[in-house]
Amino acid sequence: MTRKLAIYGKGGIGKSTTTQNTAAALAHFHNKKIFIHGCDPKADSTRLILNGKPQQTLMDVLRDKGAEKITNDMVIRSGFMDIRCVESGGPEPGVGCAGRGVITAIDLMEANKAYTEDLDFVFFDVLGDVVCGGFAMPIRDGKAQEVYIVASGEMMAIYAANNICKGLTKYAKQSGVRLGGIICNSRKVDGEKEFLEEFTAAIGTKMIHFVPRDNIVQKAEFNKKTVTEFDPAANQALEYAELGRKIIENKDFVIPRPLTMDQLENMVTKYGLMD
Amino acid sequence: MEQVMNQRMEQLLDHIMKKCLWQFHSRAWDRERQNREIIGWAGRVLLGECDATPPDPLDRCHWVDGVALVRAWRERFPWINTLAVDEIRALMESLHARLDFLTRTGSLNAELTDPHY
Amino acid sequence: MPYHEFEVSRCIPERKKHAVVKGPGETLADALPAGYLNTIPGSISERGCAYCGAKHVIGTPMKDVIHISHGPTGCTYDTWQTKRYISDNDNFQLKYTFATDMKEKHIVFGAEKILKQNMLEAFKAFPDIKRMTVYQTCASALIGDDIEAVAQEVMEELPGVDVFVCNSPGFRGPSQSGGHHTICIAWFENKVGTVEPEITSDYVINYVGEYNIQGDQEVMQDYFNTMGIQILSTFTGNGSYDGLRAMHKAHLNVLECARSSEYLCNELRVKYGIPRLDIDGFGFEPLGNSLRKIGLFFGIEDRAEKIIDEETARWKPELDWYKHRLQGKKVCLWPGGSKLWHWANVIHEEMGVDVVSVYTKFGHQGDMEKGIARVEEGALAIDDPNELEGLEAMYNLKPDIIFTGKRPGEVAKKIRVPYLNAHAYHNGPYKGFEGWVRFARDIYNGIYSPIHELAKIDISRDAISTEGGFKTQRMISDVNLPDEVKNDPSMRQYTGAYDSLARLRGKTYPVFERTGDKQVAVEMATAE
Repeated sequence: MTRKLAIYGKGGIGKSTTTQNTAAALAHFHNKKIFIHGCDPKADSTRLILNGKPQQTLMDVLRDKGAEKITNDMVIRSGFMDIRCVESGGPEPGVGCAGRGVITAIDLMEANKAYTEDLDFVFFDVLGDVVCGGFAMPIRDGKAQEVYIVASGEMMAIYAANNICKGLTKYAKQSGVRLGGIICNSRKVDGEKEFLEEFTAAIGTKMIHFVPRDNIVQKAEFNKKTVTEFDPAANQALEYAELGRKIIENKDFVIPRPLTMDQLENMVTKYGLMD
Repeated sequence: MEQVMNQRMEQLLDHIMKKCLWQFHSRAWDRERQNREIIGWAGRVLLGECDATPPDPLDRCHWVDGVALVRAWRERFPWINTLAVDEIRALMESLHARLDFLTRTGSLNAELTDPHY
Repeated sequence: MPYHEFEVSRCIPERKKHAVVKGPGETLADALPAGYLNTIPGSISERGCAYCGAKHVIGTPMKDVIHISHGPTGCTYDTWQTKRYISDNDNFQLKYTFATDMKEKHIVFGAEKILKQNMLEAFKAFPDIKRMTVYQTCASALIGDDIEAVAQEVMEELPGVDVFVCNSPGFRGPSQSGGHHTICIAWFENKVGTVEPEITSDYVINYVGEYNIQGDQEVMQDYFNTMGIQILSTFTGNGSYDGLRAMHKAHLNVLECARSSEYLCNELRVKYGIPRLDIDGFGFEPLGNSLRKIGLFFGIEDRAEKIIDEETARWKPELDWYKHRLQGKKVCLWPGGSKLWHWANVIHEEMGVDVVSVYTKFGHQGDMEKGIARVEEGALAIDDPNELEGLEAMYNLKPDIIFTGKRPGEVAKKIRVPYLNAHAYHNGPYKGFEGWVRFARDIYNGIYSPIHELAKIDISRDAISTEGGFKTQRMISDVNLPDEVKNDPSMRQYTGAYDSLARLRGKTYPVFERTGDKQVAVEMATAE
């Protein structure tokens, strides 16, 4: 049974890095079959798996050849540990409708039966915030059943996480989508772990894993690789393996209770003023 | 006598309502102007107070409708030719008031006060 | 109670505010249907959308123009051809319609490029046409394509062309009326005043709110030309793009369909001081009075009288023939907007029919005021009706014929009520003296068509009589007429041509000396 996961989070928080590293660890350490569907118009969600190989995006093919001409071979590439990757792609900033691109891309992949039964996990890596209906596509209509939000102890990351929960709540009933937890991608800010623990408890979920900050991630990225591929013995690789294990074993799927602005402000004030 | 005058006013009003369009411009201030100007011109024409074509185009347009009214009234309601000056003035006044009420102050048209065209 | 509640709409209580019966002694201040409101959920409206209102009703009758919809082809197809607004340049704007054919990929990546390419290709394909209108649709509005910027680029690349952009997506307003408004204001703000016309007469008008349905405009144009009046522009039937850019130079705006274009006349009055004269081009008396008023305005009433005398002598005996045969026939007058009041009183007076109901699909309360003012007591007035209400009204009122659009018309046929197309006509034009007789003939043929005698029989149930033979409409209509009417030699059926426009095209008109010319002549003489 394939599990479909959507990864959300504030722009720049490290969604794509976390997604790819976790996927690589799941494949390498846990022997899982993985598919990553990048839903960001910038199409940069799979370069660590594909070692930077530029990929023709779904939307590129759609534009050049038409929807009916698209085949899986044209748009799906396999990378590290046979992880299959597709990028939705989309317009340059300021034109067209990137949200519609996300909807179209997922519909096309489903129509082409790209998410095959042998897969253990499909990851949807989605643009920063749920800005319109299009970017909510992975959590609508049951495209993804589990959502993980990447956050840190920074104020704006928490705001974004809370907003994403609002979007998720809207679709939880109709699509059955649930929040699986919050992944802390540490920025080494003061009281980060405590802040996130209090926040996750308040909205009714858990911090599924605290991923510490380690420069090896950037180093691997510079080499267009995930940590697991770059150095499978590194501590950070084991952290991602641990996150992978927790995801595999996760049973806590909830409809979150997003905070009001007042509640959020109070929490931010509490941790923001800590020395 | 008042009853007769009222019946006569209603006849003139009925003619306007069935045959004319100028009383139904889309905004209250336009209806105010149309009613005032056209009934005003009609009264002056009835009284023989204007013999020249008004030079200003906007005036002339109102005058045209006033003249058309009077011609139709004279043809349909011969009694109008028998009225005295005071009677005509009173008749026009009550007609104007009633028309203003029906098309403006008493109108149920919710768009009359929309500030834009 | 003046408000009328339909049985079928009991479950939609808000609908009650949308229908009124004109009761004895009641006035407009007692009851007026609500109007121009968003359609009530559950009431399946017969309205169109604001894109259709802008493009199909108002924009496309302009004749020397490439009309492009920036959207999927369906929007274009569904607003093409069905309105029969012909033109004297071989119907260019009816024969050709253009769409950018937006597809999924254009939504995602933006469709400005394909729009520009379409515009350039269209101009290339029709090198004689230098004018274009571009209509935004729901799709292009949502993704925010900058159509004005593309239009600007095209105008810079192709010197000599001019492009008008109309941003009226389907969702703009409760009905097509929102589109009428949007395009009127957009035209006024962007195009009026950008061309200086050549003035050839002392008497210059814009003819506004006239869409040349089956040639209406050409009939009226004939009268105006005969009177020596220059029609600077017609908004928009048979109208030229550049003529409409020069509207600001007219002396008088002659307004026909106030519903669709009074906005424009109001703005022209405020900004340029051009008076607005509302007229009726339908019916002998209203049309005659309209021509007289225009004549009076310019001091050339004698020219109007001449036309009225000639036309009345020619056509009145034919109108009367039909009037005798239509006397007391019950009519539901169910058009989209303006014909509700254009026709309400005059068909009663000049054709003898009784208007038992009026409705409007997209009219505002002002249209209802005019319509209710003009009908007789007892008439049922309905705003934005739905199909079930229409059926209920027909079952209750038992009209002999209804005048409406083709979709509700087909519904009427199902319950064996004949219908005439009030939007696109059956055998128009209906304007003008001859046109009015053509309308009477269509009503007559509609009511008395032998086909209805057959349609009333349910062949699955009723026996079909084999006696009596085939009855012509004349045999049906004249059965109860007194002999002196039947044999009255002063009346006759319509004797005009099948194509009543043919004699107008290419006709030459009298040349009247201009006051300006006289002055110039005097000045020149003095100089010599």
